[in-house]
Amino acid sequence: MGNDETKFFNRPDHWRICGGFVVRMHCWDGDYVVYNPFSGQTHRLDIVSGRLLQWLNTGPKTFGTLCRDVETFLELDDQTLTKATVGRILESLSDAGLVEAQGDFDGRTS
Amino acid sequence: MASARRPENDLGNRRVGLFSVSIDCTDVDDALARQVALLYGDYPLADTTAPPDIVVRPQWCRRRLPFGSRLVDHRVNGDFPFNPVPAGHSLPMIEIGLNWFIARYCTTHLLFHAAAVARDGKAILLPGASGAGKSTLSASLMAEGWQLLSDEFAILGSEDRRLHPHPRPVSLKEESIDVVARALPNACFSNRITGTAKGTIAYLKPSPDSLDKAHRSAVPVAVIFPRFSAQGAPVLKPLTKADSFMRLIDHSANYFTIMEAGFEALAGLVDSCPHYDFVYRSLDQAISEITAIHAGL
Repeated sequence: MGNDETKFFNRPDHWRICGGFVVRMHCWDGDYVVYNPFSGQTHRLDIVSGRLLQWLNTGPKTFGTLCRDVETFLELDDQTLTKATVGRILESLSDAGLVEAQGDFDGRTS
Repeated sequence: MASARRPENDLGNRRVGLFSVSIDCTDVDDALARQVALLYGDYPLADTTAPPDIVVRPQWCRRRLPFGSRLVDHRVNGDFPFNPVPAGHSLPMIEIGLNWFIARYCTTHLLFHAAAVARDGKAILLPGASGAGKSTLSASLMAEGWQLLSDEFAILGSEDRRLHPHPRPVSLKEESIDVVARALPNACFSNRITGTAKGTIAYLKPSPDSLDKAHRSAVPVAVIFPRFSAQGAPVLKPLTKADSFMRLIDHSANYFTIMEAGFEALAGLVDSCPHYDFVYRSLDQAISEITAIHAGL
């Protein structure tokens, strides 16, 4: 197993918007802008990151659910690629302070 | 020896768009007071039963420059936010003081470093960095009968999503002073002020029509990011809404202060109209392009 794969297979399983909040976001032609209420920063997201954040806006999700949603949305049939993509997106949203992983909260997930 | 106060050098409270403003020159010499009266003397008087929203009061500083030249301090609502400047640079400092106060304390509106002009109640927002040519462009549009809403500080209502007039004297620099003076031969200009950080500058008083309509807000119908370039072909390029959104954040003076309200107001603006990047080579061309865009909306 390569390093990248180890990285996403070891990834926490449950994700939500930081603090369980709902973030404000707008989408135009597949470009998202999202307001981070904790930092006051505004982030621009591509369509996949924006969609993923939109799904998390409806409530906490498991990594597997997010992967399935992204797989359907992008019509991918390569699970490894999907997991790597979702892993990278979650990492970057987490770095931006928009989402957080299981362990940081006790929430119910779908 | 203390200078005598000159009560006649106080214009009283004037209505400048949303704000009542007092520029009190009673503590300085008549030359500055005359310039302030020239630029602000035709603004309508504000309600005198309430204190003005903003009071800028230039006053002599005890410290002097070598050879005895005098410095002026600028008190803005009780604060001294700036270092004193030579007396000849007091007028730009008064303008900066007004901007400083509005940017710092206005939380009900989203502020942009932008010119804004309107016709028939429909406004065009012209955001641009310093030197992009927005003041020259807005002055030239004013010469063509457009209402000046703002030359460098546009005000968007975070609730009503309308552009509110804030017609202040237009700050022109270097060659653009002569360009605008040719376009507006009967217009009223301040003295030229040399040696400022922006070089030689002069202020143009807004047109009588712009002052008459200073209580009428307008609906934004387009956002155009203008940039003057003497070389190359003119370019008018539509911008994606997300591109415009992020650029408008960079041009806002208080986006990070008003937080979610600013985000939603900006989204409302971005949603409601088209956005363009516009590189122009001549004012005539810019005026005709902007007029055509406005007419089609």
